[in-house]
Amino acid sequence: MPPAGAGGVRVVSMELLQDAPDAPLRWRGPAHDGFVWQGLAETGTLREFFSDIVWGDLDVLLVDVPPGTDRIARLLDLVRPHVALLVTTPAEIARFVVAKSARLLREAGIDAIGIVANMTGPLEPGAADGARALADETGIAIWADIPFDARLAVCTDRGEPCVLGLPDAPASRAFSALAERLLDALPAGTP
Amino acid sequence: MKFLCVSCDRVMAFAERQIPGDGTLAAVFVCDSCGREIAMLANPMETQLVSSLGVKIGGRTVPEQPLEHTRTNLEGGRADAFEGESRLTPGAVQWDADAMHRLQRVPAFVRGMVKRIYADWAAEHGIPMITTAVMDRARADLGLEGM
Repeated sequence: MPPAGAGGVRVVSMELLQDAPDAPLRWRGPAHDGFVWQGLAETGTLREFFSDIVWGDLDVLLVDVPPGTDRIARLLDLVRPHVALLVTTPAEIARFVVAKSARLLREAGIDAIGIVANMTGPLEPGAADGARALADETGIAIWADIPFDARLAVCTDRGEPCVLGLPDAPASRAFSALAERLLDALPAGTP
Repeated sequence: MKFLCVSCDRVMAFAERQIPGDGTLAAVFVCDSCGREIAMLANPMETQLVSSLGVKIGGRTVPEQPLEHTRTNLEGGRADAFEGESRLTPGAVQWDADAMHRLQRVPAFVRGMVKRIYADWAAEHGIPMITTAVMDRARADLGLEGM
């Protein structure tokens, strides 16, 4: 069972298995054409993270996947999430990328989807808000608006979630509200 | 995949597998009628693909270990990333110096798994101290290769 960290959160990551902080993730195999089995290797490990780790009683199992749709597709091959959160920023290029994920999730039949607008703040005059545009074009609601706050990085660097270290910060309140909304969206009786 | 002994018209039986260490895999099959042997040498990519799918050539000799795929396929993983106590009686099994020395010859990325396999076997047999002789017995009993 993974040890509980700050706030009682248990974390498993490939990072915890690496032999050096700057070690890139590599898989054993021939030096060439690694792309052939990279997906197999990653999906196999993701499956083991679900099946082989004793998670204990959890409120939520949150799977953080990198931008892009390929990892989401692999995740959907293994499990069907109750809720999907699409994290984006006001940047237009982020909207462009996340819109693909939204379509993928919808085509997979995932209904409970929320947008998390991260690093929000005042926009340049005339600039489009990519997160709002994403919500408008997809019909997916924005569940949280996390304002940019440099103090969050300080909290993170000392291993303290901002909701504990800076509970009254607007970003922390937004995180707490997001957590409540996420729990409300889970089907009764889960996890 | 199976091989057929054409002379005897019989399916050949899996006899042995070897992992030379260069990424290839050799599997030996034998005809139980005439004794003819053939060996299949898989190239590294085929070996990796099959391994990634979790297939054990010739069948599995020991139960699947937790995170087995990850620990055997991760390049450069921490040596103690998968260390664990015996699931049967944690902390009860000791290792003598020679046994530990032999264990150090096991590749680091599977050492933790191998150590636990031996510890579980010793615990199941009521053996408090793992020696090289115990390792030999366990290896024969479990059909382990190269451990």
